[in-house]
Amino acid sequence: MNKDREILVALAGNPNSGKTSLFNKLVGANQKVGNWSGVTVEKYEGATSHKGFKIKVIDLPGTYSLTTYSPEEVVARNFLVDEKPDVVVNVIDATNLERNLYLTTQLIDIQANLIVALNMYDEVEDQKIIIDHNQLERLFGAHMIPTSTTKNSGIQSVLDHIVDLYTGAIDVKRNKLNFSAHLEYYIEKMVEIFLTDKELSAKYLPRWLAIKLLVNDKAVYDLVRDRSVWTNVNKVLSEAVYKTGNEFNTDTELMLKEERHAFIRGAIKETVRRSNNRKKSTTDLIDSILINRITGLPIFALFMWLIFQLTFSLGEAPMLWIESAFNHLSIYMSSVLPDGMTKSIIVDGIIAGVGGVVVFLPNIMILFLALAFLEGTGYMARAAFVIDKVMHKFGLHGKSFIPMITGFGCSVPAFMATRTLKNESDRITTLLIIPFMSCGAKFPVYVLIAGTFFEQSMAGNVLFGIYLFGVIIALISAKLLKSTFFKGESEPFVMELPPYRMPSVKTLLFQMWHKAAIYLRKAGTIILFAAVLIWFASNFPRSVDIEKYYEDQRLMLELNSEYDNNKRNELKEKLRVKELAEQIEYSIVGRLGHLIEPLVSPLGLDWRLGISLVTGIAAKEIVVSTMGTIYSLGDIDENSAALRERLLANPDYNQAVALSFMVFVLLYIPCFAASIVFHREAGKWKWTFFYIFYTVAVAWLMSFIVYRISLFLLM
Amino acid sequence: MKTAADLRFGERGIIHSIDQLHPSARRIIEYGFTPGQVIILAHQTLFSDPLAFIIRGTTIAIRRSEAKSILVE
Repeated sequence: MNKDREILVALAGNPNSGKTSLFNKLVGANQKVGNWSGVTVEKYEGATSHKGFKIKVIDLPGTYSLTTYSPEEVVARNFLVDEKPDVVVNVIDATNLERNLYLTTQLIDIQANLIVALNMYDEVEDQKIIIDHNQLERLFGAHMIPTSTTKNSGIQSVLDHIVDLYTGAIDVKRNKLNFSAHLEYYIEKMVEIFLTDKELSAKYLPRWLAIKLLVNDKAVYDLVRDRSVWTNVNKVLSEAVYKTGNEFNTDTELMLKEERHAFIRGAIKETVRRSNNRKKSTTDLIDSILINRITGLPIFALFMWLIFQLTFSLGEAPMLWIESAFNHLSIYMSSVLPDGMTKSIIVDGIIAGVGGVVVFLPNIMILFLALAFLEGTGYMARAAFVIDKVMHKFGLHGKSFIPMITGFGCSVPAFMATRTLKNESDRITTLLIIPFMSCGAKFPVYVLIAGTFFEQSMAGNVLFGIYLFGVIIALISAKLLKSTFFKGESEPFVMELPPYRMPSVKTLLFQMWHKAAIYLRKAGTIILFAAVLIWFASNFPRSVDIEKYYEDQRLMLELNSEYDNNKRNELKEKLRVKELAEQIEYSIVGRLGHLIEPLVSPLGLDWRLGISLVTGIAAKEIVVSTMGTIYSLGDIDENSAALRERLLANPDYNQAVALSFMVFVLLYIPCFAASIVFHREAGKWKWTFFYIFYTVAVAWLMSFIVYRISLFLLM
Repeated sequence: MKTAADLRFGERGIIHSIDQLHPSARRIIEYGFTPGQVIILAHQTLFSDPLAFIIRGTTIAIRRSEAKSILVE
């Protein structure tokens, strides 16, 4: 297929306009998801063929306008202005023309080859609204096609129009939006000047540049201020600003925006007939309960609790299956591979490492299915509405709540859930405080330590205290970050509460699978590499002396005829575990433990606990098993009585040390998998470094304070 | 003059003007809060903040502090 048989189409439209459903109808399953370069905004693209043309469709992020308030707007606008797609399909919610046509007026400004899909037309008919689309077409200068994704109507017509518009079979309708004579005078003056700059005016529409300058658009200002025409343009602009202030007592930005709204209102008055008796809609009815003043908050809490419960209780069974599948795999591999390095690297390194990551997959799938459902139905915006006041007290946004509570389960999906936050400073702040919400993998550590050093009756309180401490640190951190790094950058809370809609199962499953795929891809690449790296660090260098010593011991055991076979095997196992303990102390990880001992000793921790913290960077589950290895106990879990005895027997350990250690585990960097996801979501190395530094620094400082205070109080 | 934040639950008002010195003024206008427009206070939370208004056929939630920049008559 040759190049000019390919048509590049962009879908533009407001959030909740049914744009994504239309996209799915247009391209079917033939789509892929990526990221727009530089920002964490998802890029959906797909392709279809129609009348012998290949139609490549880009689904732009949903926006209300083409300014530069959010990354979504920047992405959509840059694509439209720089890539100049062959056809732009503006998807609008036809039940709400007044709001949706605002974006349309801006698409007219950039003179796109425009088709407007009057989407959800079935609902228009249900509500007995009559739209004169011929007249609307004339006013806006764009083809208007009624569509409905639920009724599957109008889709073919959209495809026909795309091809016909591209081939010239039908005319491109063009109409410029005329502003008041006052503004037009200055726009035309600027256009004249811009036209003398051939290079600039070939790339950007002079009229668009002029309009954008009048609304104080920073990006356009940056584009033109270094051109030689700028001095003249600036003269006109200054005059426009001055005259508008003087004669109309307003500014050009406000005036332009109001004129846009006025144009739309006029157009609607002319073309839309509504039946007068607008009955209370289903949405109003549902909202009167879900965001009611009294019941709103309890219902919100119930939903959150349900999601949390579903994610972790429903996820438990498949987690066990995955775990046992990996167990079987490692047993099988152990039996077929010859003893030695290769076997160890595959079984202890790769299978254990990747298995430890894949095991979270059920949680991720369930959580994101639930979140996609809340988002798809329209409840998500209400959730943010209900809880915003509480979050705002700490400088956060209502939408920060869901990622935070997810953090109690696992940081990985929590980091991924921050995507619903559109403002960068809100998102980064939320990302940075999620590690303090104690994740599920840290739980065994608390059970072991609290259960060992505190009375049965106290252990529960200690556990609760640890969780609470994490939440407090998270909220204080948010407040701190918001009043230092992100001062004054808070996003205004202006949010549409869209009508409730039932999302399609296909869309929900697709979104769930998309999140799962991102996660699995990481497990297969970077995490695989890290698993091997950590395996290497805890196995190398090996001491030949230690090896030889235990070799001799084993030989002596074989030759000793005092023991029967059972006893001999038991002693052999003891030797193996002891050797493991000595080798790990000799390895890079062990040396690191010794190396950091001076750093952790002010916290009351020795090198053994230090090593546990180091390996805990890989995964918090490893903290307990590392202790088992160091105390020569072999594979143990948090309920091991033997490990508890050993810990209690150590004269250096006491309740203060126990608290200090737990606080450190609570607050320092989450596991490696989570850190990779953090970097992906934060997008800049700067933030990843800060995240490592901040979590470790806070952990150290808090451990130190807790240790010193409890030494004073308890001892 | 009364602001949108002073409307009672279910009460309607007509926007007189937007305080242009408010940092979120541009954003609010973008969402359709322009002079002459009818707004109805449709929902409020336990804390009476944020507030949700019906405007131009949609429900838009804004914080109380932003609602204070909208003068109504």
